[in-house]
Amino acid sequence: MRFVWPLCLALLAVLILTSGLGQVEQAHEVRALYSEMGQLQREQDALLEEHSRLLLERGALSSMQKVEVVAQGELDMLFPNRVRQIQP
Amino acid sequence: MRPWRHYTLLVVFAACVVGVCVRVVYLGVSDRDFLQGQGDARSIRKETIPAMRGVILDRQGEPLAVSTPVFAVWTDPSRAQLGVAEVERLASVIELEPEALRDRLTAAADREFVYLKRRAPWATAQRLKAAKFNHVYLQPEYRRYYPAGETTAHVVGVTNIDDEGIEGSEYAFNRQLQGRHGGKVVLKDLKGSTIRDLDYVTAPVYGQDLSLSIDLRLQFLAYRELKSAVASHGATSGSLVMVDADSGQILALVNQPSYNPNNIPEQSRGMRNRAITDAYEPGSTIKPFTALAALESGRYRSDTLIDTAPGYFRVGQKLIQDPVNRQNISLAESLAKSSQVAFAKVALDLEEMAVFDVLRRAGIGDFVGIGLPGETTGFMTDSQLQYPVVQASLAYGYGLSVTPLQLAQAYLSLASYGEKIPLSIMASAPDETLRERVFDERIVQEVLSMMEGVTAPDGTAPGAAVPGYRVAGKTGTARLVGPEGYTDERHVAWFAGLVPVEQPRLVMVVLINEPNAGLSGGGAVAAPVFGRVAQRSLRLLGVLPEVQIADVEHVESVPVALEGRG
Repeated sequence: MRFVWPLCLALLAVLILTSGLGQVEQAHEVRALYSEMGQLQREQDALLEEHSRLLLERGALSSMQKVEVVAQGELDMLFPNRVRQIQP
Repeated sequence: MRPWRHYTLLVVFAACVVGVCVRVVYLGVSDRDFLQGQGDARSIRKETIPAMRGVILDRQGEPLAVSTPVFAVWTDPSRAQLGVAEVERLASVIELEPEALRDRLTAAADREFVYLKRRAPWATAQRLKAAKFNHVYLQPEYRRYYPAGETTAHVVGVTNIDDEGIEGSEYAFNRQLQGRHGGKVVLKDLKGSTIRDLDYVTAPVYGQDLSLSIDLRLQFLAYRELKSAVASHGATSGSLVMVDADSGQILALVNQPSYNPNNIPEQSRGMRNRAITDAYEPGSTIKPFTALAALESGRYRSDTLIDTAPGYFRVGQKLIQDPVNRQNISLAESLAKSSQVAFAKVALDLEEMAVFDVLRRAGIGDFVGIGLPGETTGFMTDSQLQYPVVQASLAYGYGLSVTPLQLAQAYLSLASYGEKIPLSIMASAPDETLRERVFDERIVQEVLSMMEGVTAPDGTAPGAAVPGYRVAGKTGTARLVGPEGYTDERHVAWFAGLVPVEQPRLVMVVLINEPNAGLSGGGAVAAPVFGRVAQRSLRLLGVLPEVQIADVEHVESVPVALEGRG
């Protein structure tokens, strides 16, 4: 019976210490995850920005206006005036 | 004396101690929530995380409206207290005139919130972050770009400065596009910079993409032709609606005047989506339906002769006349030449409700309901059909009004050989069960072959002909109502048609409002727009020609040996 009380106290002390350390660990982890999330969000924003920019660029390059300007101006293409229908 | 003073002092001190204790308990227990709240109110801020708006795409996946992340720059002038040099530095960072910035700051000196710049691009925001101004904050937001600009302005619409749709599809499908803002709770220090995020309350739900049935290539073609026609005829406005004849999906919907959705202030004139909001008298474009009613009666065929001599015809007080006396002409010829007299006579010969009933089944007078804001139903009533004048004028398109969209809906029922197909602006496959047969297939076929005469070299609209394809259509010219009744000099020019006749792919309605440069009728003004747009659209869509072109070259197919393969 003599050792029961000190043992209980020691056990409690150990438990308190562990839970305290656990909490510290948790808080640290939360912070790390939070900063990672912030980082990822910034990255996502940057990627979204690039995506929309590329989307617009692709749209501009593939637009009928652009295709016509290139076809007529740079490649000297014409709309056929005389239509020839070829039958096999 | 002494004990008295001693005890008094003791009592006073004891009272102080008790007082302090009571106060501590009071503050710590009963006032706790209030004080904590006040403290938090000074340091804890709720911030919204804006949701990115969905992209609007055309049927091929080309972007029509795209959001890109930008920043709003704002400040709290009551705390910021920026010096002259700092204001100038800030102005150069966010690219504003120093005077303008100073004026804005002094005007809002006693406020706690003022935007310095909206929609600052990414690079500006990075520079501002690096420059570290006190109490100058960045708030993420999104800005909308419309790559096709004025070409798609009416269909796509615009958003306001707060990223909410206010026109067109942006407005109509705002809920789907918008998504839901998220929120987070942050802790701020005295200078207003965020120390740390306390709680991530809700993640933003990004908006869904929206695919429209519009084909940007055809839209562009249609827009360019309409714009040049409106300009060259000095017209006040114009509209064009192009519909896919198989599905009822709208491929192009353009109006003139238009506006640049990327830069809206100061322009508001061109913002109306006239093709769906403005109704005009359709004039002769209604005649194919009168012919259809005549065929349905069983008493007419396309070669039934109608006596139009002497070129005019009196109904009550009204004199209906043709430009020349055409004598005895067939129903088909009456349509090709657009004879008022013939159609008035046919209409009066039919049941009172016959033409009205056919128009009704074709969808005239009904709400089309494609979902874009501002759509109107035009006007058509049967309340005065007992008067011969009203009955006759309905037959050639007066006494009712339709929007170009409604007329496209009506002509779609001809293109589908008698089925009414609901129009749609969405790229998703339309509901096939909503199709409804409204006209007999053979009767429609006969009407279409009569309508082919309109685009023949001797018809009223040879300009709408497309080499290699059979075009069925009808012109219309309706005088506009001025303060003194119908005017002779102001009118609208219509052309409505479909192509190719055998297996229709496109239905198109062209409306030019108040053309004034010499030529005036639908045949001279609107039909060439149809012809040009149809020709290039059919080529883009890869529709095979149905008729052989005059000079066909017969080429023997030579088997070509493929070398260097395998």
